[in-house]
Amino acid sequence: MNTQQYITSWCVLKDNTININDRLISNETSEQPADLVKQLYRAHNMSYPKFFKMDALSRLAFVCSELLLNKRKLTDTYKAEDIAVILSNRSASLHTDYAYNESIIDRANYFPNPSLFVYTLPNIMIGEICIRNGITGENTFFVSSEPNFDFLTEQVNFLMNTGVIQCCLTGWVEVSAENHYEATLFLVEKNKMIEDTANFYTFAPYNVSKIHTIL
Amino acid sequence: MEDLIKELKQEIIDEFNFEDMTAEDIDTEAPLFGEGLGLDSIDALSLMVILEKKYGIKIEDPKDGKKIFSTVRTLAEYIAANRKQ
Repeated sequence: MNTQQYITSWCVLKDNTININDRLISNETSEQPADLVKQLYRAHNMSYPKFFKMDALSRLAFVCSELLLNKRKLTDTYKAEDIAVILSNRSASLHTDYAYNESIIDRANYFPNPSLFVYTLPNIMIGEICIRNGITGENTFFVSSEPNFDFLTEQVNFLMNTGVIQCCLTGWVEVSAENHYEATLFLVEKNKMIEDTANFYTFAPYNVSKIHTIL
Repeated sequence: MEDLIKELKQEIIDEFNFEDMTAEDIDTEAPLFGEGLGLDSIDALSLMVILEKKYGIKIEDPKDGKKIFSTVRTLAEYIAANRKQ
């Protein structure tokens, strides 16, 4: 028998604006979304030295996951292997791929940089979130030209309904240029783990799309 | 040696984008990996690239890396003894 899944927390960031659980935070001081991400990191005392080593995509995913979790330690509620991170985007890691390619273009000064190269895969951002939160469950990354929330909700609901996972951090995290950032992250949990389901959206495509387009 | 140590600290800050840090924030005697700066195995490879690119040093045996990359001081001492540029 299927249980109902709920969105217990969400975070939407688009360019210079961020909305966390219907609380709008406008950014008026940062000219670039990358600066907003750094401002959020500092303002919320995320205190994680690895943050500055990450590429733009991982920084965006990391900061949004921190804001969405709001200091909550998921492993206090769930076993590490019962928590999944399933993300998607349009451009994979193309922004960093270009930067890496640029860095090795001069054959006379050919020193491939491992700390840049490691981010030329988009699923690295999932790894960063997993390391930070001690998550060891299912993780998958999908690429699609547009957010496909029918597909994403089907994937997550299937894993939850079949008992593979109990909780999932999922959504869309995209960096396609210096000034184009967008992220929509959801924390999805089963009703049996939630005391009052009346406060939460069900994890269904129309609710996911509604939140994604809130900005 | 102190100039080299300061230079290395700045190299580390630049390489790993430790934007909130200055050279003074890095303890010369503290472990580079694990606690503290939180460097990992990928970062060890990056440090090897710095050694080769900036100081002309190639670490032939990766097992030596553990000792060389122990702290900023051990790294500076190794560079001072082996640098080719």
